[in-house]
Amino acid sequence: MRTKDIVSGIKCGLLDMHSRLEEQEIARRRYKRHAAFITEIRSKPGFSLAVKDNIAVKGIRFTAGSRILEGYVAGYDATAVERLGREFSIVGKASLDPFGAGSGGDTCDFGRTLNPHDIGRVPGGSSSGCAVAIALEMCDFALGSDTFGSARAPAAFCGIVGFRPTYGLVSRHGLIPLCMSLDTVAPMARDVWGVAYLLSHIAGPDKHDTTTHAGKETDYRSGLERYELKGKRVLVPQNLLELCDSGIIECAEKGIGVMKDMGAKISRMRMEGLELSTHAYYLAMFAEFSSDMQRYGSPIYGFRGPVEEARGRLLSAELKRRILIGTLITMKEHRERWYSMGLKGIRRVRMLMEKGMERFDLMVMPSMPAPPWKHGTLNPVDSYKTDLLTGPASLAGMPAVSIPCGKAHGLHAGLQIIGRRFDDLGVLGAAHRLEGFL
Amino acid sequence: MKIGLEAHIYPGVPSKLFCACAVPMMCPVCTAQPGSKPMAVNRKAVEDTIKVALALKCRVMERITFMRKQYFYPDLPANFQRTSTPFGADGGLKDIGIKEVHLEEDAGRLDLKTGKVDFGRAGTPLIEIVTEPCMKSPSEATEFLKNLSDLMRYIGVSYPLRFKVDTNISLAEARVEVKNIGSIKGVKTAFEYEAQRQGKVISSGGKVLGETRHYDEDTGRTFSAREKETEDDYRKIPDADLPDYDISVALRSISRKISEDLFERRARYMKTYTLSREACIAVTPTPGFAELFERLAAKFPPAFVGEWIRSDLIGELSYRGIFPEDAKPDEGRLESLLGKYASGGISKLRARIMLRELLDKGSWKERPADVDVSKAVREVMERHKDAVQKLKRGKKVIADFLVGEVSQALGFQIHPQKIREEMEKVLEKTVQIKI
Amino acid sequence: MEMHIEKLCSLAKLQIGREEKEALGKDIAEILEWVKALERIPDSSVARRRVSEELRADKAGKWRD
Repeated sequence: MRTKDIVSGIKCGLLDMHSRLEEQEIARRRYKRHAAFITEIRSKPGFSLAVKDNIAVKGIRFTAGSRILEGYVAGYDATAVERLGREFSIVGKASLDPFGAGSGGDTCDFGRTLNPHDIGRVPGGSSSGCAVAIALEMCDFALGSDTFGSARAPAAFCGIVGFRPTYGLVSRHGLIPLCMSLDTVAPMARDVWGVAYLLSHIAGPDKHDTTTHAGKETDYRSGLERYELKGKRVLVPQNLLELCDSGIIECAEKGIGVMKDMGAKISRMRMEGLELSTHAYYLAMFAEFSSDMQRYGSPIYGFRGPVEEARGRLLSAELKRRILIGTLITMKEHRERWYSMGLKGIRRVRMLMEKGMERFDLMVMPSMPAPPWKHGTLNPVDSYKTDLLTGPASLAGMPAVSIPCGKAHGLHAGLQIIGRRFDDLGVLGAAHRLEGFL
Repeated sequence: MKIGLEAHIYPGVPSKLFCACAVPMMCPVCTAQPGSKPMAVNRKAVEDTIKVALALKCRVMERITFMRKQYFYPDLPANFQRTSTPFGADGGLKDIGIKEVHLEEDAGRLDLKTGKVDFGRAGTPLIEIVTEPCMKSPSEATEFLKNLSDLMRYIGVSYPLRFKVDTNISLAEARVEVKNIGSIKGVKTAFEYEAQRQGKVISSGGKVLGETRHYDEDTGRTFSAREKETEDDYRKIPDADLPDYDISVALRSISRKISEDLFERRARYMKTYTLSREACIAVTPTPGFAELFERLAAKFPPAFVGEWIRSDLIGELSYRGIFPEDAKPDEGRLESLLGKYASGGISKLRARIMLRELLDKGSWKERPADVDVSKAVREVMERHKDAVQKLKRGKKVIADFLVGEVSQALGFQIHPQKIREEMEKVLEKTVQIKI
Repeated sequence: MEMHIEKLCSLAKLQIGREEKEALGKDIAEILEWVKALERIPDSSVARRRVSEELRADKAGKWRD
């Protein structure tokens, strides 16, 4: 059922909210083994919403998917949660790779999250719990996060919609940082209308986050319907497309074909250098991550022994890898060599994206280069490489959405649409136009 | 001997540096709760730091960035401290070189004995002033701090001066840091102890260890700090949750309003008015007050006016909890009083009585009277029972600490003298003791 | 390149056993080897600005009263 119909049905009483909430509670019980939730919350009246457990909800356990915060309870609401208000009913804190560090979505310390359509495979990360919950109709809306693809990857692998807004459009206050220069709060839903509905509540400047600012007032709800693909100039980064699995390419080409049929002007260009976005991110951005991780293990969280003991014992291997690399590159003796190199790569990608988008309205490519892999089959470097396609938009601060785009080898695939900074409505409008035809 | 100081001044600013809390309130930001982000920087703190940089004759920068200085310590909520790049550099106070001035946030307060941390203070703005290690004796250091204290008051940044000092003192090659000294007296004592300690090590043929030591106010000694890591490498990165700040506009606007330099003014008074050194100091707490002096000195013998201000006026004002910076005198009546006194028409005693009447009739602006000093005193004494015990047993220096606590609790609105008297009254009820 | 895992763990306050340290050391070496591909990007004469600064729409920070 379309989210728009659910919302308007409930609002005008045609749809019984309580029975919908009950159904979804039954679904949560039925699919418990999928481990979509770390903490479940009793449903109150409202549109059912999952909140990724790296976003603060006052009075509710707040773990970031990691044992190091196992007993911690948030003392405040994230701004985005506050802005959603009473209309929504938070049904649970959704599982994630600890602190958002992961592309597979199956490494939460409190249970392995499973792909809704094939439990032997990863659901995509790090906003895995959100995507699984929506796909299996445990709830209608979700607030995830996207730093380097964390909402788009699970959206692609679970067959739903995940949106990364322009950096600075939505307040990050209350979002545990993975990388403060790139993090966004990401609305997720079964369709684009649902995502736009969430965005319309949460977008806008916040004095609690100085990286937000007043963009022009945008009506994300009605603006959606008015968007036309006809005449829009669309760029396809051909070199990135060619690196994908054949099934994925097929899905993407179908989507591009539909855009063409709708009157969009497709151009294919080689954007050499974009493929280094993963190398640059996974080198330089751990500096920010390790800094934000400094606090864990401290007495404030209830640890009474030495800080290093708690950190050594409770932080997962991936977290330790990232912290150690972040520590390394910020040391006086290593900074020039490594940190600068990473920053150079980021600047290069950003320049390419900005130049590329000067003459185009949208960029299109698959969301993920390959279908969901089997649990535990990728080593760290291989899993970093899967962010190949989602990385560039993140580094450029541009809005990007993933919408379902058919199946590759029987597994869900996503099509990614990217726009210029602050053209969030353009990206969602294009996605909305397309989604019925894919 | 080489001595350098890092003075941390608390500017009189209503809220913390990156959140809207007023000490001792706390919020997700100043306790670094997961997910919290800093708010825009406190404007007054930035302006005060610019004032300090200018007053210390620094080369002031156009742009500042907040960096994260990363290290682990229980009093740091996030295990990093936000500290700005320099506002000013290469300045001086009289003949002491100033290396740099910057703005940073304070940590919480770790009680080493109980192991508890109070985060009420965390996030408070601190202006850090770093001197060149060019002082050659403890008395040079205390002289510098006294001058700095007068200067901070004069430019309206901090009065009464609240500060912490980290120091480094070396007799030999090794650089010994002594951290966290909270008073000028403490600096003198700590330095004298260190000079003696290091001297003994050297004369007995040993080598002084380069290390970090803490100063213990109770015993007047320094001891080795086991806990704190002296990491030279703080692995600083810019705090990407905050923008860079362009301070050039604020700098120009503040520069235009700057008064005559304090020490140049005092030198001018000594020369032009032949005032005693003590009188010069007494008449220059603030530019406004100094200008009042100049107006009176135009009508009456300057040395006489200076001396009268020093011995009579300042005392009567402070007794009533009136700070000279708030002075809005009825100058006509003041002149009439001085006229009679200067010409010998009335006695010193009579002049004093007339002054008191003049002040009590409320022609001078007072700080708000709706502050219950007695209540605050009793609350502080309740919180610090063991300190009160020490005071009762005769350890008078504790009184300074308790007065400071009350002063802070009252938002620094009330003159310490008034607090001291209130405290005497409360103590008198329990035991006979004069502080 | 030399990367002393002991020193890193001490700076980052991670108390870990020998086996785990070795495994992490290996992983990190592999990652650093992988990122060396960045070396082929030529140094540019564009002034160095921080990642975060470039993403900000409001370049001049505002105060809070």
